[in-house]
Amino acid sequence: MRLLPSLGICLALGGAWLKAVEAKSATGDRVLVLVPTTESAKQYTYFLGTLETRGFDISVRAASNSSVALHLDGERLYDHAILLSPAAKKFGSDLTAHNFIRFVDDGGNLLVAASSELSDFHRKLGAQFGVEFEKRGSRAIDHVSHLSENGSDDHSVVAAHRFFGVPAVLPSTFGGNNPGTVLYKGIAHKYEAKNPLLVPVLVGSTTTYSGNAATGGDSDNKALSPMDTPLSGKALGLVSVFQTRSNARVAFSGSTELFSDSLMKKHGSSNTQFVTEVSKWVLQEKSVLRETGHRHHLLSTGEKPEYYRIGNEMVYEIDLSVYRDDAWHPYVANDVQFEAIMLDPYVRLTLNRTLPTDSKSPLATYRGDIKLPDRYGTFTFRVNYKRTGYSNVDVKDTVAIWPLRHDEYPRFLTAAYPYYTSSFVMIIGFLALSTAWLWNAEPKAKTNVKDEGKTKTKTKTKQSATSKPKPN
Amino acid sequence: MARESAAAAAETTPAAAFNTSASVPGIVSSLAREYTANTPQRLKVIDTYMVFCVAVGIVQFVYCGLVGTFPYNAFLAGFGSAVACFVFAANLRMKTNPKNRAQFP
Repeated sequence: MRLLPSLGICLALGGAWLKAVEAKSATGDRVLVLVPTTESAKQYTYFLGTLETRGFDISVRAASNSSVALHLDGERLYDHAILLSPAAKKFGSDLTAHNFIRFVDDGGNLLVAASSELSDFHRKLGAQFGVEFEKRGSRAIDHVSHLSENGSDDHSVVAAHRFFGVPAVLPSTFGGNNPGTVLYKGIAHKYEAKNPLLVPVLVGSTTTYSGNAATGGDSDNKALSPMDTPLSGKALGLVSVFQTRSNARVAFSGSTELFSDSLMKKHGSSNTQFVTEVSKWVLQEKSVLRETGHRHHLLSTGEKPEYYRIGNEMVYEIDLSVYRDDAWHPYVANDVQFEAIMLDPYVRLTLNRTLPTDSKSPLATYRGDIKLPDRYGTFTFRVNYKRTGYSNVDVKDTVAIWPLRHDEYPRFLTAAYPYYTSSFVMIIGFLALSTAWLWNAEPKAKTNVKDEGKTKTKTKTKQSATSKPKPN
Repeated sequence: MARESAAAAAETTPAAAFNTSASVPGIVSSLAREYTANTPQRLKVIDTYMVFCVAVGIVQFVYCGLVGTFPYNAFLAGFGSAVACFVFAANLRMKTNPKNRAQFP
């Protein structure tokens, strides 16, 4: 009996390998959907149907199916997992919370949907990512903006219209002046605001609070008193997303009905678009960044040397692409930074995009002209690009910067030219002194005949000249 | 007439050297007169050279004071060469001064 599912898995693997060539997602297209029973999957036919048209290979399994496994021999069996069975206390034997965390660490994406009857399993899973679901039995209630049709008001179906502005996850059409309305029926959660990896996508509006659906009071079934402070407003998270440092994406939604056909088909609901955008982000179909290549070389020669010298001028280039709409496009941003680090960054420079030579090129080249610092040592050239909603790009290169050889220093310093000239002037002065000393024609008579003029000295020297040979 | 006045001048210049005028301009002018009159020309050549060395040294020192000691070795080389030439010229002057013939045979 166990052969059949494993055979099925092998076929699915083989088929997935063949299909990987046309995968719409950047990381693979094997999706595991866990539902309470296979019949309950019928309420998600529209959602799952859109996933299939987007090219995913969906395996719908019941939560109690013990043969479902996430890993086989250390490799992931699926690329994405969607949990649509919030009441299940435990999943199959291999689907522990620990295994789900391992799945995410290995790069698998996760979409977790909860509801008012969520189990401790989901609570623990959410707590790992900073998402604290409210008490079991409580709901997100809004007495002002809720679903109202045909005279029946269900205050627990919140018409949420407050979207958090992360353009990488939700396009800006969702915010702004005409925000869409997402019909949401489920539990609220607290999101850890200090965690930079956790981003709320849909939060409660000013009139939304978390309370007990039966009485409309607080979650302990007591009427709300002015002293109570239930979770409400912007702190009340309805849908939050989390991106790990290893570029795996996890989304938490407190409502399974968000994905259901009934709420999607309601008039005026933008559930379809919202679910499409969020699922595109979680399943790595958009806002995925990739570095395709990087190079660095000297500015003067254009070649990459074995080692650099201090004060060298060099050029660093990196190519970035972003994945959206089934293809890689050039990633355009103005905040890509380059760092040269030796324990501390010595150089930090914002790279500029070079003009693209080929308009169809799927990559954008960012280039920076860097003057290496005056320190020698082992440096790391790093581009560390982490932005909310986009994948992380961390590119490192270790280079050696050598000190100058004794004959590579400048020969004459411009600041020292006076000293050089003075040395040569001293030499010339000494030669002048020598000539003056050796060929000195001293006037023989001193001050007596000074006024007489030169004639007397000339005659005197003539006389002395004639008289000189005598002693010889 | 000129000779007599020149002789008189020659006779009077030693006396002028011992002129007890205490004013500074008087001392300076008598020093200058005595110097130009009594110093052999060879020594005057050395004196000119020494003034030239001092000037070059002062120029370098002022430049270093303005710009800073960045190429310190270059400053030391230039200034030191000027000072050394001055010292050697002073030694030569001492040795060849006819008044010191007793000490330097």
